[in-house]
Amino acid sequence: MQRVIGFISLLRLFQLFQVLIFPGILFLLILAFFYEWIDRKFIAKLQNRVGPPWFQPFVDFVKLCAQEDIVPAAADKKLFAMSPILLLTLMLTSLFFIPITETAGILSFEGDIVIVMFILTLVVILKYISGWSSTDRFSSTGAERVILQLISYVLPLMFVAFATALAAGSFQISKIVEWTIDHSLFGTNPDWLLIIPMILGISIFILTMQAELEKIPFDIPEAETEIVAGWLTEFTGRKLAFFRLSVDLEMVLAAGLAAALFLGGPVGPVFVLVPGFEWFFYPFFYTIYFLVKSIFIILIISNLRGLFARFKIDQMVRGAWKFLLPLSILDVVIIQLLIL
Amino acid sequence: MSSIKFSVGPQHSGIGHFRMKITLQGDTIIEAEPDPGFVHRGAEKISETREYLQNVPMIERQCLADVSSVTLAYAMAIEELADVEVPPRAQFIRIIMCELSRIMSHLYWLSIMGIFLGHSTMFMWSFGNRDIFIDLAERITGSRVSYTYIIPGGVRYDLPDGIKDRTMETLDYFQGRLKEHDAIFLSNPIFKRRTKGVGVLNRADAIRMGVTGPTLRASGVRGDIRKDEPYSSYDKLDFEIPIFTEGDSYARALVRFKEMEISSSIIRKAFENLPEGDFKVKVRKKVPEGEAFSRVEAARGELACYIISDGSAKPYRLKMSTPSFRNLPGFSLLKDSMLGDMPTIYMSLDYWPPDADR
Repeated sequence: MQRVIGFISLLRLFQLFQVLIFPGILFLLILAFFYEWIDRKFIAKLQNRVGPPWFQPFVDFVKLCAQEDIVPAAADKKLFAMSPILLLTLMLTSLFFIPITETAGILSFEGDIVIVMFILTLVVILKYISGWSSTDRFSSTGAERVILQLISYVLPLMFVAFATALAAGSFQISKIVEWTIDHSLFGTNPDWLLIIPMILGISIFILTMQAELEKIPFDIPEAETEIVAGWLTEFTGRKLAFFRLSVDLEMVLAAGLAAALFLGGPVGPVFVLVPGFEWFFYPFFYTIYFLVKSIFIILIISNLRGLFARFKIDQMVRGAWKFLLPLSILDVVIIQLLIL
Repeated sequence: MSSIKFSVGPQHSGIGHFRMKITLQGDTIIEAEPDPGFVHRGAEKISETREYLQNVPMIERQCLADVSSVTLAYAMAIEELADVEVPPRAQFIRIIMCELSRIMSHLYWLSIMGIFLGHSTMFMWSFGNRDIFIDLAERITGSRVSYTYIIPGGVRYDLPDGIKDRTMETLDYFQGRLKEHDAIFLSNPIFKRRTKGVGVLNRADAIRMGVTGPTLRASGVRGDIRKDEPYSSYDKLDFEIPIFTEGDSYARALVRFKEMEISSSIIRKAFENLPEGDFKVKVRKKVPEGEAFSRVEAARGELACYIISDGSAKPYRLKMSTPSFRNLPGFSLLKDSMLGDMPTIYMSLDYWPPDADR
């Protein structure tokens, strides 16, 4: 009995470690700051600049936290105060589903990809609410643009995300990862032709994620030369710091999800140096593969950011419905035909 | 549908020291009223309290991106009053400085256009390129931005040794970079989408509004003081002026872009034909009574200077007609355009608030 209780508490301790430290909250926060630094440093190199030192995102966060927190007199105070915290919480929750140290995330059950997609939509609605609650002209305009952007990119995003899920026959991220590995060139059922829909899928996924993250071709809701900072305009101090952190976390989510759905997640060849200690080597190597793959996605996102100007909202909506949606449906069709 | 009103500027990241009162219905601007005057410093009135030479550093501050053209117009008016013939070498040096200024001003415009359209790389690269010209100007004049180099009677110093080679090196590098810029910025599909067909100013309207400079030439009007009324030996050099007939923001961008190439070739030709001789003649402190009018083609358009002298060492009246102020009616293009087009139209007119307000 004693032993059983001891085992259970050890398991609990391990779970607590997983949730709080690795690969949980602490690791994810470090990763968020690190990826923001990579993004900023890479784009600085593209633009012949020096770029920030590695600790800059964290220092920015601390500085913003220490700054004055102004709430507009006309704002809906409760919503205004609630939305940054809610956004951060939602982002962290959805990140628990991302496989980092193994093929499954900290949380893994049938249908988890639906939850991640749901959270990705909910986040945008939260942005709308936060813009709306600040009752500023620029914020309201930005908030409207957020929703306009959402209705144009959300369908292509869902289609490409579910294309692999439909092929894998499961709505569980870990099963999708295992199916992708199985059908990759190094797996047991290699399928060369599957490269085509995968490349198409990841391209659409990165583009839609850029809209979700409000990065440059699609940073229309916070276009600074038109509407100052869009829905973010009235947020200062701690609240702004939380928003910025949640955008960084969203970047980790975007990169992690892209890696999980299209690049085989954290899986890669594992070199076991000491036989019998596989349990030690697997998380180590998997984390490295996860980092490599997600940084690759981040670099693509940064590169697009440096290469393009901002779209106008009508161009974005038209482009998404005209090109992205048919292409994403085509992606589903190709995958279905290939696995027949 | 209800409309919302808001003030764009003077504390708005999309605008300089300037305000536009914008009435927005949905995403369409139904009314845009420009409100200049935030940086009015009364330069014309101050100039009446200072001597002719002392005015040069003051009036060149009205347009720091394009210093040489402003001082050239002022110097030419005084030379007309004093009836002084500027030596040919000084005239050629003035051409070189004016064209350097034009390139710097257009690079400044290109970079701000980039940041207005959300293209941060365009901003950084163009500003980086502007810096090599600032270095060149520093080598020639001793100052980086406001160099008070063109003075009544000529230029302050002769060209330093070895400046020809250095300029040619700079221009070689720059013209190579311009090709890259063309590929990355002007041929960028999003840049084209954002600027083509946006803010179309047709030929008749351009003439009616009295706009000048690249804005006028993009609407198909061949209006360039360097050709129409050549000053400072511009008639001795052979060059073209780019004309486009579309009249949209993209045409205005193309005019400025082509002008940078043409200015580079003008500088090359000016260095090849550079005459020997004096670089300045003495202009007396007190100029004779009378009035004088001069106009030059600045980077933003026609810049005119009118001086009345009462025979003392200070101008009795100095009046500057600046290109930015003349392009102000162009803001009527904002009406019925989308909010997303507002930065594009604003920037395509290359409005420089201190230049308009003085």
